[in-house]
Amino acid sequence: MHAGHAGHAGHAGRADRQRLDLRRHQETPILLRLVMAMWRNALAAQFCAGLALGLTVSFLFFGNNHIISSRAGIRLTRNYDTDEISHRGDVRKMAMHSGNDEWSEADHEAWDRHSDGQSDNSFLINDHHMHEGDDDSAARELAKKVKVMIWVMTSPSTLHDRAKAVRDTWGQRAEQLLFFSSAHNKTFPTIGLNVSEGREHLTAKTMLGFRYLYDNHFDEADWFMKVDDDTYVIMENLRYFLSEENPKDPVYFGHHFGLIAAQGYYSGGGGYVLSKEALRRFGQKGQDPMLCKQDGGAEDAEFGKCMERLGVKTVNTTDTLGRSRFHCFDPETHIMGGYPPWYFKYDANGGKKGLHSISDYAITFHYIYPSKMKRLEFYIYHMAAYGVKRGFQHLNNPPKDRVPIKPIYRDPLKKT
Amino acid sequence: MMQPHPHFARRNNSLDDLTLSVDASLARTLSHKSRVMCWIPSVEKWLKDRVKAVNGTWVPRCDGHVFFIKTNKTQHSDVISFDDVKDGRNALTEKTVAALIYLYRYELGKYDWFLKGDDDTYIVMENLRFLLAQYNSSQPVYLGHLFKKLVKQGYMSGGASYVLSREALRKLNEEGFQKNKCRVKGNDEDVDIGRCLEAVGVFPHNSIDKYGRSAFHPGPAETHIAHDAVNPWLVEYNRFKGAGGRNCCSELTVSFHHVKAAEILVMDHLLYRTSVYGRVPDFSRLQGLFEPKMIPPPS
Repeated sequence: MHAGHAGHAGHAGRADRQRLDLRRHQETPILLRLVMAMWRNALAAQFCAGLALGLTVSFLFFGNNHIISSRAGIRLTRNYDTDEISHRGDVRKMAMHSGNDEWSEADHEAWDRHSDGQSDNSFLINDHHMHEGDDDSAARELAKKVKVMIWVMTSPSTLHDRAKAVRDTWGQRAEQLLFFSSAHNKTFPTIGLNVSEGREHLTAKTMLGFRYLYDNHFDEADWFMKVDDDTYVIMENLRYFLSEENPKDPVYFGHHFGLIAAQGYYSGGGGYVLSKEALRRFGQKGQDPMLCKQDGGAEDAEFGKCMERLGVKTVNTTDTLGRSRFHCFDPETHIMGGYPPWYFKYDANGGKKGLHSISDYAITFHYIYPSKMKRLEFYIYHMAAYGVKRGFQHLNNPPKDRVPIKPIYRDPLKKT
Repeated sequence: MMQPHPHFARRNNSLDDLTLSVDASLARTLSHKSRVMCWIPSVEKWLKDRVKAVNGTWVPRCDGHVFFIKTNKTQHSDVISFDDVKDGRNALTEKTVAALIYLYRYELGKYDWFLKGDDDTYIVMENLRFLLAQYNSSQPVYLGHLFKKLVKQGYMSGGASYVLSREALRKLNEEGFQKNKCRVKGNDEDVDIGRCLEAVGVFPHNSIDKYGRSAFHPGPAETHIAHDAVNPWLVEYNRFKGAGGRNCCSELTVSFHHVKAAEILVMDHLLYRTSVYGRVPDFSRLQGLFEPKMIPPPS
């Protein structure tokens, strides 16, 4: 009945706190006295407490309250998806005191699962009054020069948590941002593509998404990027990267996988960016099913084959120090090297890991669910180490300096 | 009881890491002004995991550091082992007291500030130094995340990490431990030390910035940032209510607690390496971010 956390045993303060949590839910002192009197009789106490808790929870949940406190003391807002409620039970309290308190893996995962469904209102740390002294003129200049339009692939079931997190964090720094789903939504807004949900239709979603861009927005940008709703993009670094590339080249960029197509392809989750010329070729010839599979298969692999057949090239997107910029996993996976076995065959850059494998001007990370997105936002844009200034580094590999990609077709079934 | 004081070599300050493209001259001027000794209690089982993570990131940025770990698995001179203090929650206070006595005996003259960290705490040393620069280490100063329960003037959360000035450490030892005024065995070292500091006249001081955002945090970033409301039981314990979500944490945050070893590396990377092209922060606008003042007990 009490929140099922095995924290410190036997500390008086903790027992107080558990009792106080219960008290918090009772509105009347009569019930409080009842609880205290029942304390001696464990069975009766459990029954009454269970009854009271059940009544309270249903009152709060179905009542008019805008804000609800659950047993674990986590705030829920009204527009919260009800099927997330089941996560409440696993949340552990964090220990108040120090000393070798271990938050086990299970605790962290429970917390992560819990946080995943939360949706708060706009998270962007609008610290204009604090950051106004900061000089971001170089970043703003780039934003004027480098025009990139981004479309986010989302779905009705992930719209209100993941797509919302995108819109509330890095999406605010994207000049042109569109959300595509299988369903039209006027308020969010999302553009509805004529496609069903499900992994087997992701290719169709991708093809239709780029087609929409070609048909409706071709003149509005020089670069066209597709991301997932759990992709985090550092916009300024994206623009810096693109600033030394030519939109008239038939080229596209992303996290390079060296299989499937002779020139490889790019991971969908890590995001990929098409040049204007690439989108033009797709727009003109991409509906030919001999060149581009219109549905089925893995969307990024199929799109990669399509690009190759249209003569659009992949390039090495690492920086001058050979460090990766687009990432199909989250920072922790790339730093710790917790890769699935297939990654070592697929990654065209050798499956590197560690602190020195990621570029200082990293552009994307993937598998960033909403609470992680807010955390990245905080670490990258808000938190600072006092006095530590980052210089302007020259990390780009402009086309003339770039190491060419050798054809790297590898049979995934062959043992390397 | 305690091993004789080892001579430990000072690591290179990681601000000298040439693979970082940074201009840390401003940070370095602060580093010359006050010397910080970081001490971290841990246990043998975390040597290869948590201790390695903190030792590879923020610990070398302290002017001096000591790990208090009962072990014979390492000959490293940064590790001190108290052979007759057991591991475990029941001996936390005992271990902390032993550490504070050790630091008083052997390190008092060499450092201005003494930071208690944890093996699952992430500290931003440059921000700590910025905060400490507002205070005078010859005064009895006690900084951290302040809880209002259990001790009248409050006590600092042990996990969020707390700082004692040189004078505070001296008083704690000479007027506290040596005069038997303080509890030296118990489960909750932060409460017991907090009571002891109250008994010898060391008061809590401010580490909340002028926008109401705190610098020391008893939980990891995600618990503070993810929700707009502060957890109810934190609200009960916090001396200052604070906020959740985007107003939780100061730009110059000093600590987060309950940070997994992998996340420690990630934070370090995102803070010191990952940078945003074209944004140059202006640190001069942060002058006066923290008002240095004592926090009186609640009336």
